Amino acid sequence: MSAPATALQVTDLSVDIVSRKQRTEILRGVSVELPEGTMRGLVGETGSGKTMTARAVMGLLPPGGTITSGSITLGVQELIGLDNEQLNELRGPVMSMVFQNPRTALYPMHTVERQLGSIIEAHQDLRKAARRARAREYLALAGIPDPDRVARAYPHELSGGMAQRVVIAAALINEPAILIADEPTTGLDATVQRQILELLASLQSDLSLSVLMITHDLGIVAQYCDSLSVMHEGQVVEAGEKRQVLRQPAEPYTQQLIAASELSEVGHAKQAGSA
Amino acid sequence: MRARRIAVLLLRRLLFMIPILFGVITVTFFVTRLAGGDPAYLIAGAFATPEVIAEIQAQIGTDKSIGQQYVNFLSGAVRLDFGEAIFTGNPVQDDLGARLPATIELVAFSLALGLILGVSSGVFAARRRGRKSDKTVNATSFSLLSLPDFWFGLILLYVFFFKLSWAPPPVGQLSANDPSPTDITGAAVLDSIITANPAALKAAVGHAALPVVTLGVLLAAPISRLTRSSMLEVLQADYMQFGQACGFPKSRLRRYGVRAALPPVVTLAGIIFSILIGGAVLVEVIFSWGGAAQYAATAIIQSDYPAIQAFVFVAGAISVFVFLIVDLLYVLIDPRVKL
Repeated sequence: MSAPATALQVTDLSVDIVSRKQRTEILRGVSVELPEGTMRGLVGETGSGKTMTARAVMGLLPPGGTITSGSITLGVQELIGLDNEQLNELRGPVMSMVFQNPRTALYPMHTVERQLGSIIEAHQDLRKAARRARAREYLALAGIPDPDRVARAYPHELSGGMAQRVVIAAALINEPAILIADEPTTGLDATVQRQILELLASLQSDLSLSVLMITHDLGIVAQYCDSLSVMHEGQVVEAGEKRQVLRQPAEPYTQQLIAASELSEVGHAKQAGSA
Repeated sequence: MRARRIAVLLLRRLLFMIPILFGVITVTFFVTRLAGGDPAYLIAGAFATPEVIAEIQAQIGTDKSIGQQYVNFLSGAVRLDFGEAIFTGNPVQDDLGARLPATIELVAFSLALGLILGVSSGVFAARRRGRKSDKTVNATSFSLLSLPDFWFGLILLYVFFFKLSWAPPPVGQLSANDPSPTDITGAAVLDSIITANPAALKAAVGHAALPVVTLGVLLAAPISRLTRSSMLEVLQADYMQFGQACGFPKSRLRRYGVRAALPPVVTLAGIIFSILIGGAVLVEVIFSWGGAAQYAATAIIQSDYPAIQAFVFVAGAISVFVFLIVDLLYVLIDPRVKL
């Protein structure tokens, strides 16, 4: 089997946050490779730079965020240096992002249908009726049992899980090839977390998406991802195929992460089972 | 469903107005009397005999016990009959009816100007947070906040009337020799528009310009500051980032942001409007506006009980009504508001 093409390639990315008083390095030479049609976990504790990496890719660095070196490529397209309008062409139809807190990610003033309509309108030339139909189609695709009712609801009327399904529908509605999921289940109830992860996993394989799954939970990586990169203090300390990294972590930091997660037992049980 | 709930809310709030207004006029009645000063003495003059004074007291009803006066006042107020103003001799409701439109027009135009200046500068400052332009807006609004309205009005008069002669003299809504519109509402600009009288409209707008600019510019300061802080919060909200991540063009993001930042500004506008009905008094006086606030100020100086009471009642009623409208607007602009 030939190696799959790379959907997203981050190479040697360094980002500083510059304020008048100081310059803080937040990413130092980060490289992440996301092969087409796979799910890669980006793991690390809070403040390790996983979200900043995602934001740099989306062109959504916070005020003062400056890319000092490196490259971000989607296929052959270099993203660094693109202006906002050029990035807007890509945000949605090429790459998209699911946020951590679905309740605050949706615009509170508009119904689900209206915001999905606006998101479609930003990239596709469709009439209103067609936008409505497409919105419902994607709500159904995101596993919402009654798309009609949810389409007419305001975000605050939805449960967290339902809202995250809407966010996922919104992120996918312009048919991106790459989806960045930034801790998509952290703000949700434990039972709902699993449903959302299952949904993302099935969408990933059905739509052959390339997914960058940002998480601090190694359990999620173990279950759903193909490969992972471990980040610590603005650097990728270890990267590789899931099985290899989780079973034989080379870096002490990865070993600590695994030891701290419930994975150590699960991993052993699995190993024992598969042996 | 939502329409029916709005109707129920409206009805409930209208019913609530009754006890609120009852409370307002009761408090006014007693506070006016606590302040002391029987207007009979003022009317009669310094050299009046006790008989004359007693006669005047009987005429205006201040000879009766406070309780009796209160009952008389209430029974009139129910029929919107507040008695005769002691100094004009007209029924108070007629006096106020003639002056209130001028005040409302002044306040409404000032608030509109304040909202335009305040919201746009607040949004502008928030989008340029920390930059020089933000700091300039901030410093300007901060200094405007500490500026007394009468002083600012006088400066404007000095510059634009006295020095430059761009503005007409401060003689009210119209000068004596101006073409005047047929009196329909009593608000000169509105009447000129209703009667399609461009000459009168030009004169009325000219006269309204300075007082409206005085109040409008000063009102812009608190509105600008509130808009800025509300907008800053919105700009950091997840949904703005998500909108960007979905490839929304800048123009749509801007509309999203302003729309989400507006609800608190609507509340502030309502508060300002109801305060200004009586609060624009100094500006009314400076420009001889002849509005209700100026009338009330004169009434207070002259212990004109009926006039004071009626004004407080009307101002209270307008406040309650404005807050009702604010609540309704809230329901319309923010879907999260529970009915």
